[in-house]
Amino acid sequence: MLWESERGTQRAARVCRVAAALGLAPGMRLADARARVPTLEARPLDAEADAAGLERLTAWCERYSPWVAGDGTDAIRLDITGVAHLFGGEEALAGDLLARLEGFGLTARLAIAPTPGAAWALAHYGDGKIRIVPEGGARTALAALPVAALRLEEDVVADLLHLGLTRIEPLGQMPATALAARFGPALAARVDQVMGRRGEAISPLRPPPELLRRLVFAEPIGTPEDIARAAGQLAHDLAEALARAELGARRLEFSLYLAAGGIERITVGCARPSRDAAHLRRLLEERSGGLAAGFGADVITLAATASERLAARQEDFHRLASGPAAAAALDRDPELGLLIDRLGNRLGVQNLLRAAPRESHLPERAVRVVAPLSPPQGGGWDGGLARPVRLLAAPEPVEVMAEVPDGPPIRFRWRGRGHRVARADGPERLAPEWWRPAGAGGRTRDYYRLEDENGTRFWIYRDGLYTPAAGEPDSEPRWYLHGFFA
Amino acid sequence: MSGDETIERRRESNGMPRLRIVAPAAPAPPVRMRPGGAPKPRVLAALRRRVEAIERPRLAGTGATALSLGVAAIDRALPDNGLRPAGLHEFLGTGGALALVAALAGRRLAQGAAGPVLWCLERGLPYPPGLAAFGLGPERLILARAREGRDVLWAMEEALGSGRAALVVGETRRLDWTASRRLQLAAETSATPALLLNDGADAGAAAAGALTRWRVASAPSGPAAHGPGIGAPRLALELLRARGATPGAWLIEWDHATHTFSLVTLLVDRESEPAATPNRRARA
Repeated sequence: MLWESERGTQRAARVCRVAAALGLAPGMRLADARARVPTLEARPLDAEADAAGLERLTAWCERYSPWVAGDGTDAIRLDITGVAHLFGGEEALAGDLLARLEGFGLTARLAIAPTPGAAWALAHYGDGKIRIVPEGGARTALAALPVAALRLEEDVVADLLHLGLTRIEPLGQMPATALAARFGPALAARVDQVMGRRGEAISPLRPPPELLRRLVFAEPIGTPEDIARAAGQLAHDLAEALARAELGARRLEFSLYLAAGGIERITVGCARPSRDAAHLRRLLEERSGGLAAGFGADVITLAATASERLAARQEDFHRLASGPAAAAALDRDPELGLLIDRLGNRLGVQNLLRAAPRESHLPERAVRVVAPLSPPQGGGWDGGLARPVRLLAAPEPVEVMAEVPDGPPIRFRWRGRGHRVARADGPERLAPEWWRPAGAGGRTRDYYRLEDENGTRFWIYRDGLYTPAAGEPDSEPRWYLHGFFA
Repeated sequence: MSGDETIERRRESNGMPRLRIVAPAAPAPPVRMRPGGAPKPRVLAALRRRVEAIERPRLAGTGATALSLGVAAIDRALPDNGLRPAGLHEFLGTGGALALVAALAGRRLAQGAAGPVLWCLERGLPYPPGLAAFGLGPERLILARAREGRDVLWAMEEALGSGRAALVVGETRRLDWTASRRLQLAAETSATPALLLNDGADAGAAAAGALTRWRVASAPSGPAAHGPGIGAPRLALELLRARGATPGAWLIEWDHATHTFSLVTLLVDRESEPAATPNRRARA
């Protein structure tokens, strides 16, 4: 038995079957329960862990259907429309699911019904471990169930019981308007939902993928070769489905549902929408090494979790891939897209990038990162400005000897090494950008281009002026090395 | 290996390297060895020619344009009248080497090569506005950042193998003989130039597989247009090693307006002092 504290009293929250048979029930005081069953094993209820466990179990149920959702604190919903045949029919699916849950040491009751309401009612109040209700059979199956099975507020249930309405059957026969007038709209809505006369909007744990392909194995598979083969098969199936839908996948999710419970999952991204089976397979293969299949997986799915429209004919782009239009056609060369995907897959998508100019004269802000295959960006940098080939990610402080106020450095010391300045250019004055919040832009900087006696060219700036500009902090200017020229 | 065959390494579509034996267009003459004696000089020469033919694959046949710095004196010193495009070239140095590589990549694009320049690196990114000043704009420059040197080499090989890049640049210090040989083969097979940037101080054992090896350093700039100040950037370029070329040293200057390099002629005659570095001569 699990107990929880309610207004200072410890009360039973969950009771196992054995305890229930001994007359214990939720709501009973812990002291009473102990008095009745001296050998009682009682532990505090950890609602958070319970919820987390239910959510894990819910995610695991995606092996059967992409559409799963937790329901309250004790139930999970699966929409198995169109997937039952993969497991040999509804009965086989339910049997398989129950056997696995029992294998995890869980007790569960399953119901398959045409409406979520009916399934909930039968799972909670039906008899037997598995109840399967055929299409149109909801009314008969529910007739004998208590009214509480309609998911009603406690006081509505009490009202019904008070009127002698203990079972669902008579309610189903009353017109909805009469029910609504008598007991409020909630009851009428519940009855309609259970009978399938009214739809019930519920949201799944995760939005179901646009396209998903699934393989179910009689025996768990676990060797890397088998998994690679499954990935190839799924990639092929998914590519066909994508082609039919005129879509290309941008992101794929490859999931192994392990026989021992748990999910192993990898996500791969494509720089451009793709439905090339060989390409998708290669992307998966390169990453599937990281999957730990353990004792094997018996369900493997591949889902396109993000996709974009992709015209039926991709071949036309080939012609653009060379010649004068090549620069504009980087985003059109399919082979290049494959290369970028493969690189991004291993290095990380964010590590493949292109630079584009940004309207800012601050050197660290003048460069914007764009996707490697995005269309060419307009504009450019002012070629008249001397800019280094290497910019330090963080400017490094240097000790400088310079003429006050605006003379270039004569000597400077960086990383413990002294440099004598042979020639210098500057200053180039960069004021903080006034349109950015105060402090974000820093102080006025004076940049100098310095060449030491060996010919190494440095970019060094003085942060702040000797006579601070209006609104800038009045503190000693400091010198920094910001980059290197060729 | 029989003398009638050359070995060509290819990367198949599944990514596995494979050896393929191909017969050359013209059969080579048989080589006879004198039992127990040293081979004749004539035989040695024939062997050398044949090795050279294997090592220098079909450059003339593919019609590939050599990658040139646009400085005639340097191009003349190289066997292909420039850097062979289907090959790996290594550049030692920091800022100067970076600029030189950017300029080479820019020239390659200007020659009409399709595809992007793929720049693979491990640490800090180059600064694109600075590269643009050396003729390599941002539109066709894709940067690939790797966590470690191994991934840089992997990315370079992938990019070369795909044949979709106009030129591949790699910045890494970690390059052993095998890795450089692999890159050289990949560059050769796809006829894509691969340029290695190595800023390591200890670069003694690096890229033995590269076709050429250079040291590039910033040198004191040219005279400024007006007043004291810094003039056009000058680079001291030293050819350390190249097959079929004599090592040499040059001082070149970049013109930001025309986007070209030109040779700086110093008062000291270069021919009479081939081993001296331009740096030392410039100071003398």
